[in-house]
Amino acid sequence: MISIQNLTVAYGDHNVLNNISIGFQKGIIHGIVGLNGAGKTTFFNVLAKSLRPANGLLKLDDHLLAINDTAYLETVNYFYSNITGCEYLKIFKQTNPDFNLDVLQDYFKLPLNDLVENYSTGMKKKLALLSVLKQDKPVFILDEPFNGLDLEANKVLEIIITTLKQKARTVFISSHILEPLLTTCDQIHLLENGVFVKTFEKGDYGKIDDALFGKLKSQAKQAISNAL
Amino acid sequence: MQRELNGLGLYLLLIIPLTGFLIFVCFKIFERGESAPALMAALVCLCSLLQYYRTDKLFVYKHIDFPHLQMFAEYAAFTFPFSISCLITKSWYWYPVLLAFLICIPLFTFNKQQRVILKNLSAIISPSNVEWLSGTRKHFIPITVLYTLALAFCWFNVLPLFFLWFLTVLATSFFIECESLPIIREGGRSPANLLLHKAKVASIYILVLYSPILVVNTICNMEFLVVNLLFIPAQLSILYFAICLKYSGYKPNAYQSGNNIPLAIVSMGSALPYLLPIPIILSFFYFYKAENNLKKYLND
Repeated sequence: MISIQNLTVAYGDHNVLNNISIGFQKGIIHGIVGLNGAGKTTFFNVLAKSLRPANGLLKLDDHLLAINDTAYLETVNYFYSNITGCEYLKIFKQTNPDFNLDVLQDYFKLPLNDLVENYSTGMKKKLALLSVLKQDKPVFILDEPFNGLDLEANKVLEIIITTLKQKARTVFISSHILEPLLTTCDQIHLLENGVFVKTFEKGDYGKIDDALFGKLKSQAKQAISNAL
Repeated sequence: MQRELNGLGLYLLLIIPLTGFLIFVCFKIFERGESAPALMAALVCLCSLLQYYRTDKLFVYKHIDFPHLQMFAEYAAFTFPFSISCLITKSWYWYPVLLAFLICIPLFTFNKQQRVILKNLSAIISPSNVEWLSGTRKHFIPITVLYTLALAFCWFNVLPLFFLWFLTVLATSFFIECESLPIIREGGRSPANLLLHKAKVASIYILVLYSPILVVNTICNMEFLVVNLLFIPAQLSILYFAICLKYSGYKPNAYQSGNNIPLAIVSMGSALPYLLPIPIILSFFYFYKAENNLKKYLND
């Protein structure tokens, strides 16, 4: 179990994550959804220990969640200048014994001998994903992993995420598009104003759209019809 | 413009007098007349190269109003100090010819893909020493020129030391770019260990590169034995300072162009023997600052 107790993150006076206490089941895929500014990336940054919370405890089973427990794919991927994709991957020690770059390359088709500066957004995402997959960590945090990927790569990513689950890894994913989360996640958690307000099991996924956009739809419908 | 000037750092001290000198040389060429077309051709070629290599072309063409005119104005402004003096000489008619060529350059919208220089560099420099790998590739030409000059003049008394010092100054610029969090966390080092590891890597590269030149220089100039013995620690102190300065203000993915100024001052200071303690003292001071800053990112 990944348990979070009284987690609060604030930027100045504004609490982005507001006294969150929640438990996440291990070995399954968790989707995190929320409107813009709900605190998804902040939550991931705290999980990955990129950001220190003002308050709160994060535990993996009986010990405090450590940097080494998580592999984090950020929304925007940054690479050092003047290095090739291949060199970038070599920076990371392979701790996942099953990681086979050649097999993954058949699907990703990255120009690994080119400078990363020449890569498109999708290629950069794939490269960052490869570096994450090279590591054997109990928790994988993927912030907007489907962004910038083509249809084929999207499907490959879904297969990768499912495989991670089969290997008993816990995966956290966020996405602007609900569709890939509905097909891959075992549970989807709705984050609203820095608080997890609801967890949806597979059977309840039909209710997510209303829970997420219900308020927006009712307000926007009238406003837009008046505006157009 | 200001960002570009900040990025130049120590080079600015060389560039300003050099530009003044070039303007004077250009005037003399226009005055004589016969080489004026060659000079104008050189300016056109230079602007064409700039057009070829500039990375903001797509953005300018897509988002700026009248992009061709905008680019022409930039090239006209760039060539202005070197070309305007022809108007007061007998070669005055070359100025409108230059402008006519410059107006055509933005019509070439060719886009360049950055090529990989030294594809197998990672066989020599480990990718985990990412600053050295990236920096060597980025500054490959000046590094090669400076090192070749140092090698060529290694028998000469002070000259190779000057080239090597300049090489060290260039190496400090490798530590301007901050790596991402996954890179810095790779290896699971503690803040102090990470800093010491970076210092160790810098020491190895400097020793391997500089020792042969200094040995030959010492053999040829025995009176420089003490100077040559002190030279490597002096260079290392500049690099240690650069490393500690970078990590004292480390933020994932940041570009610390503001560090150019303290680096330039310390580098200049290290060239003067009585100012040598400055980089050493500053390295110690910034080591603790860097260690504290890195705790935010590396400690659980």
